[in-house]
Amino acid sequence: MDVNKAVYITLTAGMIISFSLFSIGFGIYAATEGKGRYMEVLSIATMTLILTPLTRVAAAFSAFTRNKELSNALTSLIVLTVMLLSLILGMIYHVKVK
Amino acid sequence: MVNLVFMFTLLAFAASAGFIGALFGLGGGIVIVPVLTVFFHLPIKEAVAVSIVGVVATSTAGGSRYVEQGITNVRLSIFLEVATTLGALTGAFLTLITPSFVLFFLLAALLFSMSILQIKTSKVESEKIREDKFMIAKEDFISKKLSLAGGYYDEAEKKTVKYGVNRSFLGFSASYFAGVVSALLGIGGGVLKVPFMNQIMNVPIKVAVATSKFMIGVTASTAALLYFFSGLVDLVTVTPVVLGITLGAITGTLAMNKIRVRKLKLAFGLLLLYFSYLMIAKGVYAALGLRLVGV
Repeated sequence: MDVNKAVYITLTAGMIISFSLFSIGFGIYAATEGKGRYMEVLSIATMTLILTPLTRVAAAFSAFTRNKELSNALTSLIVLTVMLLSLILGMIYHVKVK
Repeated sequence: MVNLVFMFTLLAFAASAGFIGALFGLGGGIVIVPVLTVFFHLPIKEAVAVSIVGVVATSTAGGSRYVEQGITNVRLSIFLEVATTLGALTGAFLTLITPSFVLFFLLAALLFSMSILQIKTSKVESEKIREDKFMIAKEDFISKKLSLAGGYYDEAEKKTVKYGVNRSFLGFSASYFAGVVSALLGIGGGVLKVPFMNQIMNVPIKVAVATSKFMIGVTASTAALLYFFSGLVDLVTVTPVVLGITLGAITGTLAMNKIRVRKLKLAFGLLLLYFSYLMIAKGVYAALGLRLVGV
């Protein structure tokens, strides 16, 4: 698959899923006057959203690899590594402040 | 407490931020952070955390539209993302130890310089497109190796604009700096990436806008992940921001390619000037307790 198509599909899917979840969470919040279980839905919505760019880099990596564009595949792999490093560091920091 | 008026007002602000962000290749954080601090009186660090999640949303929505329209340079974006993610990682940690007024003044200085740059170069850009001057750039080693050159169809100029990418390493360094600033100030860093790509690397403004829009999601999500796990993201505030910004971004991407380059850059410059003033005023208030007009 062409790299442009791969990233386009990933981004569009991430957008539709997270937007729907945020809308549902907002709906629960408004309908139950803040007493419903909207926080769980909004947490999943936020996670889906902020993981979309990560997934899109992974999709680009896989497309570059299949098309044998090795320099670009390596570049996207580095981006992916730094992003995962941030995630791990964030978790460590969270444990520390607690 | 449920405050729907607050949420819908915020949603409307976010929609305009998303629209403006799509036009100029920004995350919209440059609008969201001042709005949250000035009009909604949120502390700057919370505003930054909410904004950065909104920036991911605008980049996901706007980025996907520009890829579909064939304006985004995906290869260029991945190359610059290496530097920008490393920068964001550095910046996210700096935010936790930097006092608020320093952040305000930094943002003000940045906005002011970029504003002048945009206004000054608005006329040159359309001439370059008309005379096909973007094509004659000599590609460097990195640019050739990663096949960074590209082209797009400009709807306002009614022609296909082809371009070569040069000074890749300088652009790469600038991208690191944009990443640091992005995490530090809750902006996507597009405010730096667009002029850097445009002025250093010979990328036409609309491609710079689309590519920046695409990239900032990666920069912002790196920082957003850190903020989310540190518990800094307020989910109730973030919801209207994400919903509004997504709708605004989709509308904005439909309009961008139809606008004349010169007007695009001029409007952008003026917008930045206004927000630069707002940030100075907030900084003065945080540092000295003095209220300037409009705060």
